[in-house]
Amino acid sequence: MRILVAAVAATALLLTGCSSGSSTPDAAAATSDGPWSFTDDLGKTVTLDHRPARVAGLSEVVVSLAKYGIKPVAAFGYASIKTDPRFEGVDTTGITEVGATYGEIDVEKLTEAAPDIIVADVYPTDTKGTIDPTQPDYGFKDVAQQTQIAKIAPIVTLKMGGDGADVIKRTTELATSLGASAETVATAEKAYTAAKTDLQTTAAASQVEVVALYADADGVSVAKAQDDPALRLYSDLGVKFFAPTPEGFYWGTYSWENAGKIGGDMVLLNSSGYQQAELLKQPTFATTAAAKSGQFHPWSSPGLDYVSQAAYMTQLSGFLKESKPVS
Amino acid sequence: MPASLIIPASLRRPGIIGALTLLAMLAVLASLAFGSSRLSAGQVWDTLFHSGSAPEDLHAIIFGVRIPRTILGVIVGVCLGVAGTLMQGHTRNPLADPGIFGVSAGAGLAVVIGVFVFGVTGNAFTVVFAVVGALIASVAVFGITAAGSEPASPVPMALAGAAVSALLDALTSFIVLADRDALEAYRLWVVGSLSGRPTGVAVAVLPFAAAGLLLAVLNTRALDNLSLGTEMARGLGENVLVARVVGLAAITLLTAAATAAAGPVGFVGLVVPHLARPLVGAGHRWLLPASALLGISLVLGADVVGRMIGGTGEVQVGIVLAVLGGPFFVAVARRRSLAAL
Repeated sequence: MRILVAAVAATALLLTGCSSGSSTPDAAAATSDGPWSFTDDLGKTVTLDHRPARVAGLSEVVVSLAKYGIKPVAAFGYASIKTDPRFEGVDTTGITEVGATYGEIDVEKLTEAAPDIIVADVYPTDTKGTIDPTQPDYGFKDVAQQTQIAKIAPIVTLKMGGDGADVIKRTTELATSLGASAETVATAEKAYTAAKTDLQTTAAASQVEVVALYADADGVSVAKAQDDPALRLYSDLGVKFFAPTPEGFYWGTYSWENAGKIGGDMVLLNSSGYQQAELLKQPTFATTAAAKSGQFHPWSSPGLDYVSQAAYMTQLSGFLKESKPVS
Repeated sequence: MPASLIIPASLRRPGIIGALTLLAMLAVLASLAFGSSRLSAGQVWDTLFHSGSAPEDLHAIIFGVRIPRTILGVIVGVCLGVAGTLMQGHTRNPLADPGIFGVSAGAGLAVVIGVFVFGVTGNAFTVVFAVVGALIASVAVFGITAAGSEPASPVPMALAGAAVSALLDALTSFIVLADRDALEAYRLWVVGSLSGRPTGVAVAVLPFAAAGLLLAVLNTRALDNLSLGTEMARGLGENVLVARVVGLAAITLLTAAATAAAGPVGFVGLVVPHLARPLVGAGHRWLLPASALLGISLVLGADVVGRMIGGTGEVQVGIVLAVLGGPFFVAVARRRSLAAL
């Protein structure tokens, strides 16, 4: 636990260092004028007569931009800014919260925030990476709501699928085009590369199998590492993940009767749903090796950018070092 | 029913109750034997009767999941079956549902307030909140009608219940659309389910269920008199107000217990009385136990179906009942004359 606290503290220091160091060049970049255009992951090109200075959007995307010094004016998501762990280390003053549960977006407040662009993302519906064009982007209640919001400002959509390393590149490209300084990006990338190497070394030396899961009264949903960009990235770095047997994209769902069949040595637990104490009260899950070992750590689904991922990879490396193979 | 021609009525009803008891016991056995973890009958038997030597995982499935879930299903079935019969008896309305007094809406709002204001997420605390919320809503409905000309009269109570429910539901929406934790808790709670509830939940609701059943038993004779109409009941020496208050308290306690344990489970309270009435007649001395037994069979039966159709996952009993209950109720409604109450 002490190691974890130290890791978190170190990360926080790193983040503060980054953002304060980069404030001057960003301010200069934001004033630069001239036409701006960006082709998003749905193939849609957004063109404006100036670089967007006011960015609003889905919290998991704006958080990543904020880590590169692009401060959003408004954010919506499926958690409030206050409770979303991804906002940790981000100075949230001046960010208007325009939605705190999924699909509930205060259009009036968002209009008042006068964004130049709105950033969002989209998740594929199968392992091949298919995007359903009839569905709205992630975070919008329905197509009608998205159409209405697109009238406030053009929507730029990133695809949260496939290889996490590619998604990080795209997020960074968007941030750079919005004025993130080369220095900020380079510093972040350096820290990311170091964290990546560290995780790779730790994973190679560790026999621990990780199980990333979400649980509620209906049962336990175990993530399929290949279907989550970030988990796939860690898996590519050598982290071993428990592969759930139930069929389905992204999640393999076990009823509580079947929860005893979940393998793995160390649990990465989603920040919503049942937490450790509630999980251990379920007699079937309590029989699993991971539950008995008590090796539980947070799965905070950090943003896909160099800063957030470097921080989480450092944490994950620490979790692996602390844990022992038990199954 | 040809059997009624041969067997005297005095023996027929106990016979039917015996058959319904057997059916409920079969439902209990099915609930122990079948689940989303496909165990053989032999494995279940060995685990049940040689629990000391049973493998840990089987022990956890039978004693940790299926037995608590079956107990919860029995409680919910009894409560909703009896509450539905009381409700229809008091309102003399064949379409009355125990949720009509605002009980479900009150419990739902209390669960959400528990999360939003007090940060309570543990299951046992949620139960306490749900019961208290249900009681408050019911008392509020009673209070509104008490100001009217005939206190505790069923029709004004149903109207007041609908109004209070609408208000409470609006408040619930207001909170869950602004707070994610409250939404999560509400989302899990609002689909009636027997899954994933710790054993503490059954223990926590048992006193409320027992008190409700006791009041229902005390209300039996009054219900028969009331079914002849308020004037006739008064003529027979019935204190209508007392009878109504006892009945209302029983309905509230039973529905609150069931709702707190499993979330709102529809159709049981509505359908069970219609199944029971053609079997044992309209006398509540027979109707109430028949409803309790049919409630058990229906809830456990639907739960077993839900466990079998979801692959390694499951479908919640509330959804199974909603899907099966709709057409089933239409069939019942078409076959029986609903006015014959």
